Amino acid sequence: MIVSRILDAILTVFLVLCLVFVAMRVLPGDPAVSALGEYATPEQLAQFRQRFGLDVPLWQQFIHFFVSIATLDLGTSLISGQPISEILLINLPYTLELSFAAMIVGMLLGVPIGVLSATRRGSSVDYLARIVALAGFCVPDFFLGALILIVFGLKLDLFPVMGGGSGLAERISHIVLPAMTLGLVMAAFTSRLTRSALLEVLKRDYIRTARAKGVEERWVTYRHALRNALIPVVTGFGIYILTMLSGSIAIELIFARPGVGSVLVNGIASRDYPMVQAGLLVFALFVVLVNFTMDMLYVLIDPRLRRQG
Amino acid sequence: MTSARIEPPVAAVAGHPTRKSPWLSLFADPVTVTGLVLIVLFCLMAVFADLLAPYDPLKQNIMAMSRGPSSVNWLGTDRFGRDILSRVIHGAQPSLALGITAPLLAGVLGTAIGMLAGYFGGWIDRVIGRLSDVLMAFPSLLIGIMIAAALGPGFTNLVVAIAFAFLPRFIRVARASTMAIRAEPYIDAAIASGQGPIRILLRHVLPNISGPLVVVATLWVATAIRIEASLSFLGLGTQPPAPSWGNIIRDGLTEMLVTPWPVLAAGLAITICVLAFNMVGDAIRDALDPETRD
Amino acid sequence: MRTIHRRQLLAGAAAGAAAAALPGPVSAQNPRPLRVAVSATNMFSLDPRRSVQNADQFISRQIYDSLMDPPYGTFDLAYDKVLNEIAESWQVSPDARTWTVKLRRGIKFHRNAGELTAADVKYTYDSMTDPKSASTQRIYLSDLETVRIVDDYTVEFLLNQPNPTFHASGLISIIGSIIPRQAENVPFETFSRSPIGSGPYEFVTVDPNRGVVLKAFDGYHGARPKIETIEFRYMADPTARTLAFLKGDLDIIEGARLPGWVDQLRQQKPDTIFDQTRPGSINTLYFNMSRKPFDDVRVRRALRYGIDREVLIKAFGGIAGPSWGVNPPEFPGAFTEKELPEELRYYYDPKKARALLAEAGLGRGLKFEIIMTQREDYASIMLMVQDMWRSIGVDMAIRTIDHTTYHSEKNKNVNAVVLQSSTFAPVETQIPLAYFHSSAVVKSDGKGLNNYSHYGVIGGGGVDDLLDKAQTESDLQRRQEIIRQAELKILADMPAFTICTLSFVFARNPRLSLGFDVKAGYARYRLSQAQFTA
Repeated sequence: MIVSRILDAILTVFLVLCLVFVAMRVLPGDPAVSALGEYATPEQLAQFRQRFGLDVPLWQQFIHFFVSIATLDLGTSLISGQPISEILLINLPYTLELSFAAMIVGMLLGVPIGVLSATRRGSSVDYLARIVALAGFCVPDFFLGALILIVFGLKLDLFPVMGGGSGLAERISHIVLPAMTLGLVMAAFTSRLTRSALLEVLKRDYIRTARAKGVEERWVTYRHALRNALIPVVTGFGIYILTMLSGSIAIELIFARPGVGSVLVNGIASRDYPMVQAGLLVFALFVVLVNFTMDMLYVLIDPRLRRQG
Repeated sequence: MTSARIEPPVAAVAGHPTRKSPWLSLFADPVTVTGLVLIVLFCLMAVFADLLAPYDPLKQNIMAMSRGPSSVNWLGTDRFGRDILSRVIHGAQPSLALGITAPLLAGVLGTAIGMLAGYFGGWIDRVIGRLSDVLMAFPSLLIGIMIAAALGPGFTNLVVAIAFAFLPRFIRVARASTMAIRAEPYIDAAIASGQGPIRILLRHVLPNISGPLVVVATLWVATAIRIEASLSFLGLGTQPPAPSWGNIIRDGLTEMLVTPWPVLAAGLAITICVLAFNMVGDAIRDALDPETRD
Repeated sequence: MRTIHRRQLLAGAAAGAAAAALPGPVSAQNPRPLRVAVSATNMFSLDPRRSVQNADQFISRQIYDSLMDPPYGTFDLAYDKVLNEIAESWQVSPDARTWTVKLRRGIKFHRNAGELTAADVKYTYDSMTDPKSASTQRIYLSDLETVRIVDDYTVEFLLNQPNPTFHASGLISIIGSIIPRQAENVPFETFSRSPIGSGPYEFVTVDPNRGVVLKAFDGYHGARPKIETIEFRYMADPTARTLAFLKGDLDIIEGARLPGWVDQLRQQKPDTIFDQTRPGSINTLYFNMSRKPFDDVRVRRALRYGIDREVLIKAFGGIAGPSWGVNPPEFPGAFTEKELPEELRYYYDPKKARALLAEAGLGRGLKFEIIMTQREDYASIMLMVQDMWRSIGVDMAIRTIDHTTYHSEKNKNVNAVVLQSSTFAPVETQIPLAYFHSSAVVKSDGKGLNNYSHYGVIGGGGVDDLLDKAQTESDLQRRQEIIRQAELKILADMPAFTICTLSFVFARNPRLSLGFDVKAGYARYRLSQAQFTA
């Protein structure tokens, strides 16, 4: 089962690479022009294309692309000449720490709200929680980010609004607002998921049995129900982490944060093929990794699945 | 064991439409009715934008730049002196047009592919299943960004980008439903009576799997609207001077401190519109598929 | 020790980065770094020979000394006004074909790369004019035949035709920035990221948060800068720059060239100082005469009459200005409004525009599509033009694409109407030659230049001759006269026109003084005399 999952993951990566390659080669605009500027002479442009292997037939570029990725050589930026692995190493931590912080915010807010909402189903608390969750689900993340930036960053002047900060303290203070933005969106997902999963479990027979036996209500909720409800919450988390990751692109833009999203967006803007390829590659690997982890977690939490294989 | 990969609960819908006119129950719930009313209002706004908008959304007035709300411009003006209210009203057009066409296109293509795969099986089915699994793993916004970046901005490209992002979801539902129906005795009967596969698919399979597909389609309208807004915000979607909610926010950010109204108005419009489609989408799902109701 | 190798350059950058992380006694003197935000997504190149964006050139200006430069904050190129940096003195031969520059002695390059001598100057220019080099500056040095070393501290620039303003194109920054000869061992890309100059600031590191970090160069031959550290951040989004400036996180930001931006920022932070260059960039609108109906002079004039320049200038709130002739009024020998015949002033006249269109058989209106970049200044101008033309019955659809795609597409002759923004030194021949000479005509294969109208190839008889004549004229006064004759013809034919000039604008912390006023120039200035005031 694990072997087949790994094979799946490898296949996914391969297909994603194909997709990335095709997407990049249909991009309009000329990377040579954007690298050398509008006054570059034709010979300079030709020379540039030759140096970066842009003048050979597509199938050769395709092979070259795979070989270089297989050997972990991501190449250098067409524009600045900086090694891409270096650029990614610098930017990746910012995206990771933002995702992690947003996840914490999302869990800490989302799970309790979901539990509260499910255990007091039909009450005004439930109603309010659902509306808030639904709103959080519908507000576009970039709009929320803009509001948070203006209110907390500028009007109240509580946190920095720009960049990622360097040094631990600065990095933490820089992450608050973007993490809050993505965390709120995440919390909306999580609370909805927790609520419905918990309700589903509470309906089940063994909970009824437990209740009939006179086990205290709260104990039922936390011990039996929540544990089982966790399964869809945890696995559902995967897709929301990924949704949040794609949302981080706009958030990095708003808060002028470094990160893989910025690398991608800047790469697209300057037609820097290798940069965009690398950016997409990282996101694709995230997707594969998260899905793989979730599948594994699923098996861990729900022992019944181990037998099904 | 692909079901472990979670996505909107609807994927579990494998065709149990209740025949007891589920649609009627939609109108019993005040939340759903509110959602429906809002959707109708937004549609009217988009269709009659020219009549409803007090001004031409493109008409500039350099003498009245970046003004706050007034009796002349209820939501104020942007940096070219264009009327914000008129722009927000017209902004409903790309959002709704895209919100409807992208799932529709994905639905038509995805159903066709999914049905063929599910009906014929074999290696084609495995390849298609594999491919859609891979694509499913990607958040639709990410695929949208990739394709929109490759094709360049513009409405048609946007529809293609978003439809492509949705395609695997439809393929998967259509494929699973078709496989379930393929096993039914009446399909064998139809084959025995000499009907061709296309005829069987259209006459016997399609009508029976349309329920879940409609659910998938309605659920993705809200997502399509969100993605359109995000892409326009990132500069990959609707292009100026044409207004769309996403690019009104993008432009509005540069003058947020002077007049927050463009950002607020367009942001609320997206939120309410997405909310309305979600409310109705959820209700349709519940009605067509009572099992997933909580 | 005068040899540096690639590895040392890299090691230097790394060591610099490490040093910056350590709190040293130097930073205690003046702990506050100067923070500047430039409008670009990231650093492309700090090698002036391979420079493609203003943002990098602003930084390069601090790293490199130039042979000479106009007095800071101006674009004054008069021989007696020009400021010497690396040059000690210079002279022009009477035929304006030989420029001799004497170098100051004892100028040191950063990171112990030795003393600057004539060999470094020759290397710098040779590496730009070598057809095989990746330099983007070669086009500006087309009249440079060769650089000759006279002695260790004297060089001669030999030109292939007279050029009394060679210093404007070839000797001032950014082209006049001298690079150590040893850089020939390293590729441009490496040098770009680990530059060595002889300017007041030396390169320390580049990282995604602090951007490019520079520190004052101890061995600088001039006055030591007062501010120890400068950080240049790359922030392409104007909103992010503006917000960070409002918060006080940044001391200087490159402004957004958007209608109303200056006024809005002033409203939020009234004590902001705005540094703006006049005329700034020249924004030229071309009609592609190889396309119908733009081959008809009546249509071109109609479209010109349909543009209300006053409104456009007003919208930009003081950063835009007019240009009556081809050259803006700030250039030597340029036309003023009154000097032009009435019919060549093209005052806004929608009635006349409609009449001309009707005369050309377009009474029912004209419809076409163009592509346009997303960049804020281009897009703002074009949105306003679109709106103005709409009211004379011209329906111009705009398809927006990103900036680099726009430049590569525009150079392939695909647009019916082209907008081009460029900055020129105030030399009367530059704009006419670059935009209106037949040899600069745009080509479909992208190998042409900036004459997007096809002027001289289509129509415009006699203008080429005038421009050629001006180029071989070594007397400045007579040069200007010839150019003015050409300008009159161009205005009448209307193949293209300067829609407006647009200042580069920077917002500055009122507690920061630059040591001079910014009045003109490229989109950059020196920060070596900057200091924080109480």
